[in-house]
Amino acid sequence: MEKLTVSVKKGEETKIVIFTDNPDTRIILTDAKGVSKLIKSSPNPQIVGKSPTEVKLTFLFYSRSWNLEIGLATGVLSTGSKNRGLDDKPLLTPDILEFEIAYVEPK
Amino acid sequence: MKYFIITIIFLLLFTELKAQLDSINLSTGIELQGGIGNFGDPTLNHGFTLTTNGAIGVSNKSNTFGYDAFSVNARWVPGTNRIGKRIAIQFGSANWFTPALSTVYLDTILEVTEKALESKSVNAIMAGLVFNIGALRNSNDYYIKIRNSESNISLFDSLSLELVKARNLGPLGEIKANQILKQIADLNWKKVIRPTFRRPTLTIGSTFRLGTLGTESDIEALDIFMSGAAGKGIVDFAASLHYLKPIDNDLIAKDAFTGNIGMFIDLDDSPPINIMGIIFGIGNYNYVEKIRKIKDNQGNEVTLSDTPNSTRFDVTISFSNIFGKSNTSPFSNSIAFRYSKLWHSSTDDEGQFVVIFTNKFVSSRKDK
Repeated sequence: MEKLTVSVKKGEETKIVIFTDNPDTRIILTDAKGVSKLIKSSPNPQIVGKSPTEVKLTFLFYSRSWNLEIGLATGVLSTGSKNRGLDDKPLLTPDILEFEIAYVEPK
Repeated sequence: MKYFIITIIFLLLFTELKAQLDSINLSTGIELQGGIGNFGDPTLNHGFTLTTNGAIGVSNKSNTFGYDAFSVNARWVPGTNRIGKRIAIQFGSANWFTPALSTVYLDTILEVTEKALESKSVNAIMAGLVFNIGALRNSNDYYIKIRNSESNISLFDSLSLELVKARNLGPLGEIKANQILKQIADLNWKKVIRPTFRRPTLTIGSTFRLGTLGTESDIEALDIFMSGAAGKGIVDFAASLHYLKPIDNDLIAKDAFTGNIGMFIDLDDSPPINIMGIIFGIGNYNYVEKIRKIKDNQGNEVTLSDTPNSTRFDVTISFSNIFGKSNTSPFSNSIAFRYSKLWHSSTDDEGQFVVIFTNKFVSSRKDK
């Protein structure tokens, strides 16, 4: 599981932006109360939620190859990226990637 | 025997290699065990495909000519755009079989020395081109299109959501998550991958038997073929037609037409899938005219001639992907049992039983 640590004041809202080049992807956002919802994948960077209320993102890539970038809209405080495979291939079960965003007090 | 040993070596080599590779390439698992080699596979995979055929039980008295018994065939699809992925370069090596004259021509036509000649099996280099003019069966674009079609998108959406909910429960949701993953795999197979494998496809091509390589290269035989496949559900159908024309005048073969039609049935509902094939083949082999001048009892010169032909009928039962591993592996294999009946116009009829081993390795390239 990937974990991002965001160095902003606790409680401050920050928009989560993702970019993935694979349209065969399911993205699921889980909030602090444990409620999950499906987000449509888009070939363009998109704002998918707000931290800290929405804290976990799960990506299900149903085919390879894929590239993923995740960041924050308000200032580049933290970003992450991941990719898998050079060849395009179908998968029987999806590649699963999880991002959990944890807030810390700024130093 | 040497073919059998080589085949076993290939099997062992592949078993060793497959453990090291990313096993998500796909192979349709249909093999038409044709009478003149296996150069007409209707499925055009991107990248590199290596096929080996080995057989045991081949009779050296068989009165048909052509490629059989053992072949190594590489097919390379160098392109990735819409046209490029429909063109394949084919090359390899196959045994060219020439039957003994005594099994082909009338006894009265042959000189004493000709009657003593035995059959010949000469290894020949093969090269050719193949064009796909139907649907591409390993198209990633098509997989994505089906999975996200109106009828399937809600299924995959809801299973994805359920999977994440189960995973979010931690160890308590592990069993449930594994069950959902299995459901996704089954659904992917039945709704996405299998329908893609069943798309109607057609390839045409020609392969040349090259006498020698280098500056002295020449083409001694030409094999023009067409092969197609289409299916639905657990059944796939494939058919091929070959026209074989030797160009070398020294050969006794004139030309041959052969055709194969096969039905392939999935024996499992989810990977790994074993596939059973029932294949019927028919062939007509024509030989060059042979003339002999003899003197009759009155001392008159008499000209005898014979232009023989053979008709061949095959029934083959094959089992694919039975040596472990699934259809999602870059490796596939099959074992086939073939019975052939041969009717010959000038000599005795013959029956033949052979066991054929086929191995295939697919290394696909990026599908842009």
